[in-house]
Amino acid sequence: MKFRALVIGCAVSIFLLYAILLFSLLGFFEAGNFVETLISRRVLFSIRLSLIAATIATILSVAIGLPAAYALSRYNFRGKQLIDTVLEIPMVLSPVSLGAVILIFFNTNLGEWVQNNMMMFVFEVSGIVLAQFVTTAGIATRLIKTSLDEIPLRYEAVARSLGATPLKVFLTVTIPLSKKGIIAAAILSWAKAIGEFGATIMVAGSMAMKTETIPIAIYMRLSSADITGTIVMIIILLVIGMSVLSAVRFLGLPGHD
Amino acid sequence: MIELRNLTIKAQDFETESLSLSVRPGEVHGLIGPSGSGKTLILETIAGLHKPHKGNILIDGKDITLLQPEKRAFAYVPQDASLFPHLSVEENIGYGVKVSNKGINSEMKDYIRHLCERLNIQHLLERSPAKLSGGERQRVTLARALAIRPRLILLDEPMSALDPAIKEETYYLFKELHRELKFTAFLVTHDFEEAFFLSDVFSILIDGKIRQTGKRKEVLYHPKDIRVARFLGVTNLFEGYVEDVSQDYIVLDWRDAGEKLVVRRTFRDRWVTEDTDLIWGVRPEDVHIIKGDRKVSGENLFDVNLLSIYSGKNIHNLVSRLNQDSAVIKISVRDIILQKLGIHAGSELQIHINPETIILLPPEG
Repeated sequence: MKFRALVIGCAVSIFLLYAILLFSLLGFFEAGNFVETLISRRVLFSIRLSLIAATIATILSVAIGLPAAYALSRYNFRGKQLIDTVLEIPMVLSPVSLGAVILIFFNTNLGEWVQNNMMMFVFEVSGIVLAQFVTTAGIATRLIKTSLDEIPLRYEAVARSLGATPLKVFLTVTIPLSKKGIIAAAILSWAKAIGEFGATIMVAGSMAMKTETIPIAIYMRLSSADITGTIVMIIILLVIGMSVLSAVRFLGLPGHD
Repeated sequence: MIELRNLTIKAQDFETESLSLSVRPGEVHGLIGPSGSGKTLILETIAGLHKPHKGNILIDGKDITLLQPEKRAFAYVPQDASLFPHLSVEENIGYGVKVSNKGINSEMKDYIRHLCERLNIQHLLERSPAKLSGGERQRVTLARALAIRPRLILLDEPMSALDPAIKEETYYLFKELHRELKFTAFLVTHDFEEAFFLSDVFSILIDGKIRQTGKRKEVLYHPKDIRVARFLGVTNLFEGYVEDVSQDYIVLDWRDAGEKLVVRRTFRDRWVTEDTDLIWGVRPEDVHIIKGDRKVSGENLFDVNLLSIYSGKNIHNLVSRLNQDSAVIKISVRDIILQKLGIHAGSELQIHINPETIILLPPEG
């Protein structure tokens, strides 16, 4: 009984920690200002930018992460271990460090060539997408790989013996069987991308009405002592994040019972 | 004809010896071996899912060793059915036809309908595989494999997970379907009953080596060596000395018991010569207890003392010792026989070993 009380106590403590922190926002909350700020052009721009950038970054992460995860899950090849380790870089390096790495890359000859001949990233919206992609691609790949690892290989073996090429097996057996895991990876990557700050501010900067995503807006408003604006942006981010995670739970996706 | 020619397969901590066997068209070839003997690995190599280390796989003389699995037309049926859980029964059955881009024409539709009727699964077509019983799953899997009209069906212990009653029913169904469609199949299993029920020809695989290939009687009554004999249930194995060899009979000296034993000589025992050592064996079910108290005299009759009885569902395994010596002989009797005999541990019995059922083996090493 004592043990039970102890562990439940720990769970309640964690809840209280976050509840108290969020509750403290109410002290500065003004309903009139809240609505006015929420519907302001600048805030709506931030919301739209965040949603678009996070969605593009997630699509890119899953588009590359899915085949990459399949390769890591199903094939043995030289350098596999190295690639597998590199996937953890976004988890090991802080987002600010990742952003700094990206920025430094664009100061190399190759980086400059990319900027001059392909696409501008630094202080651009594309830089936001790149920063979010870099922070989520590894995680998306790792999550999808975990989901693929759980599919028994015999399904694919049977499909091939019945005449399906590796591509057809991938499309007709592997993807449908790991659908929930792929969706979960996409949603969690999206949630991470929309809340991404460190790498984004390093690469894209903090320019109002240009590269001001919701997390950057929170930073900018707090820097200018606009507490109401800060709270509005925090609530928006919180609502978006919690809605997404609730959707994951609602869909009964793996890892979120 | 499908042939394995000097095939060597290497896995992480396992390697087969050079394997050679052939599967004739319309034949069910059973590869029997204990767990961990590499059966599934061999099956997956034939399916093209593993590359062999050496050797070749041939279809009608054509080398397909490096051919992609999808181009072999070998339908793989794994142990647990592995129906695609995201597809309905109907979609599962039609999967092979659909992915091969052949299109389902009316002839194919009729064939699949016929398969479903024969396998009694026509009422299950809309169902999800999760809603099927074990027997239904196996029948659907068989339909899915047969739907592509494969050159070879690769069966990995296909019915070992089924309940005994369902298993027997599925055996009959398989045999009937095989009689009708005359498909060619390669079966791997550790279950003798499954192998002997379903197969026409048997290969015995022990420690990655095919020790013997042959038809039922040949494998059962003429195992090639002691390991095969032991694996096939010949648990009574004794040392013997050949005293006399005639046209029809061989007389042995049963070393452990100091008794004489008469063995029916067949053409497969031509290797047995006088004044040599060998191993002889008999299955526990081929040792018969003489009914009644009155002793009978004759060849291959021995007095034993019953040490213990280990009872199964229908079969009782009796451990007995020859009265005058320490040779222990095991006897299997059916429930009804044991009840009639009224014997118990400590009973004195007379046993008879039929000369036809004695197995002769070369000495070990």
